[in-house]
Amino acid sequence: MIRKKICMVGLYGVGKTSLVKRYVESMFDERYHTTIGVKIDKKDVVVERTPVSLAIWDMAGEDEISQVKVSHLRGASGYLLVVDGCRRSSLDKALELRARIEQQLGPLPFMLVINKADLKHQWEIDAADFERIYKEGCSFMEASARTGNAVEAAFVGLTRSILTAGGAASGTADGDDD
Amino acid sequence: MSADAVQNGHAGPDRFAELKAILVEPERTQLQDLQRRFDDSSGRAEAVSQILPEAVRLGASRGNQLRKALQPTIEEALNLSVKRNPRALAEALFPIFGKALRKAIAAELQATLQTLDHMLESSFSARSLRWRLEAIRTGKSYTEIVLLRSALYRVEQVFLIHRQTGLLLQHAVAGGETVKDPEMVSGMLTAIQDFVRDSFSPGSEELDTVRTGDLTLVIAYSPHAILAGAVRGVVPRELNNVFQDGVESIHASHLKQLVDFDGETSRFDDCRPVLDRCLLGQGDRKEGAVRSGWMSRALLFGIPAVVIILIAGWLTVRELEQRRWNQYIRSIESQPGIVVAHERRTGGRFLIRGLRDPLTRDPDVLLASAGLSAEAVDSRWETYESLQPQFTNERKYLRLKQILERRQFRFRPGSAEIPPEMDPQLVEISGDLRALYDAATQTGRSVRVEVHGDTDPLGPEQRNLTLAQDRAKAVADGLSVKGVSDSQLVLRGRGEGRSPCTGESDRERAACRSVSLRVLEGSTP
Repeated sequence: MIRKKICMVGLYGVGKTSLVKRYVESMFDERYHTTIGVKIDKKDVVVERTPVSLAIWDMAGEDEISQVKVSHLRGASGYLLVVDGCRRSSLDKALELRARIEQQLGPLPFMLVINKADLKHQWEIDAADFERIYKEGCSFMEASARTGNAVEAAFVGLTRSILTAGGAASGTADGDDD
Repeated sequence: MSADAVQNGHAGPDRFAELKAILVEPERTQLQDLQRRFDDSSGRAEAVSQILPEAVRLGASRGNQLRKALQPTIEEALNLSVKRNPRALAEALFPIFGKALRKAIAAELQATLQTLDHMLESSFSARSLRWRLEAIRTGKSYTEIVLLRSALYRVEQVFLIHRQTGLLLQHAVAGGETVKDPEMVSGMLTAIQDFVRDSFSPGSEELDTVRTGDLTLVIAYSPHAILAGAVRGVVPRELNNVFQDGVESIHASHLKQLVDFDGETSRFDDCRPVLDRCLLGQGDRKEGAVRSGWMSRALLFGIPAVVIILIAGWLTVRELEQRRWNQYIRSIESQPGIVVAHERRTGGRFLIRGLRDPLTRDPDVLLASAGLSAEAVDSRWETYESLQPQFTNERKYLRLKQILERRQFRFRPGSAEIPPEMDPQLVEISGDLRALYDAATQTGRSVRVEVHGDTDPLGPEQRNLTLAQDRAKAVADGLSVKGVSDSQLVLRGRGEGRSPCTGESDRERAACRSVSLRVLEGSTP
């Protein structure tokens, strides 16, 4: 069995936990977010006939007060960078987080997930933003935690990226062990 | 002028000295200054103190020479310091030793207390006897045996976790245990460690034990792996060593796999025996806990409960008796003619002392109606005459009744005529009778007086019957004349209500020729 650690990161309230809820049955309470800042769930997937057990670290969202603990990403094989389509600021924050993660842990496979696809008419993210995303070299998906649309595809897509990257990230991305 | 002297060739000793003074004066002054400084030891010390720190730093940076040179002196100085004033050094080292000692003592104490706690639980069982025998047999102290045998624990689960990713590499479970998803548990364990380290002790030690209630997590680390065990019961210190040995052996045998870990956990399947070896358990803790729990609970709560019940029962009985006694005291105190002088409870008996008029009911008779046993009461009553009207009236009535019933009117043979000498007695009796009626009324009685006439047995009986009637009537008439109401008198003749008088001798027969009185009592309606 291959096991992989992946993380959910993004601005507070973009729907990370809702996406996870759509995807897994959780064993731990959501209060873990407010206490230790992370909640861990598990999902077994099969990608290209390879069974993979994902340990999903759903991290408390970043806001004005608290910052995402990049240390939680140590040892992660990849991460989902979650953005709320209705809030442009969440995209800014996501790109900033990505830069911070890469600075500290080196390049990691990731998938930018633009949530709330069911409310597309309210989106603040426009063509110019998509241009930005392309330029940043991000692979992205539009998903909806409410309808469940493309949620599984996002997780599977990330897993595929991880496997394609040859698992090079796992266990080697933490050279700066503190 | 001096220049002239030189030029003129007059270079005498004075002039030479003068010349020398001119030429070397500055050097001489400097030499004197140096000499003064050299002779001035405090000044020298001052100068050295200014350059010493820098000199030491330079010396230390240029190899071990300075350290080697200083070592004996420093050791000697420390020895001297300890000999002269050990307190100074102790105070200086206290923050370091204190912390370490506190930690060690706390850990030791906790383990001892837990084991002792269990030891006490198990003290009153067949096992304790077995342990005592074992202590005698092996020559060890009983405490040693108890600590050895009573440290009950059970490693329920063992997790081998990849330290960097928090991913579960291997997992072992003791038989019969139910487990939640171990992958998530191992992830959360890693997250909690991050949380604790970030929050409380950044950059320092890892969590080595997490304790919650009866469950302890024993955690051992290698640079790339974590071996964690969920242990129920009292964790012996040796268990940490077992886990540490385990993780070290895995580190040695799987270093490459750990460093290059790519998520493939099957590469750690052969670590399984190490995990299984950690699934230790001493004794059947659950069964033991239940049994010793039952025993100790029985002893801890059963005996006091029985004692409490007995005390409560005794107090209840005592209280009931006391209530009955109080009720009895109240009832006899409410009785006229009884005065309770003293009463108390002594030992298991009640004691009462007092005065009672003989005309009252016997207080001891009232004991039974109060639900008290006569054996439980020591009573002593002195008699007295109460001056309450009901008692004076009663006494008066009884006295009059007694007097009247002793009276006798004697008649001559064959005569029904009251002899004249009986007249004063007739007056007296009529007075007593009136007084009797009054006293009877006051004591709630309704009385009538039987006037009973009789004869001696001589002569014809018919004649005697008539004569007896006549005699009774004569007395009744006499009393009526003296003011006694007829309706209060009942006339009876010979043989009516009592046997006919039969006198053997003259004296007895004389007594038969008489009229006597008897008070007939009835209650007022």
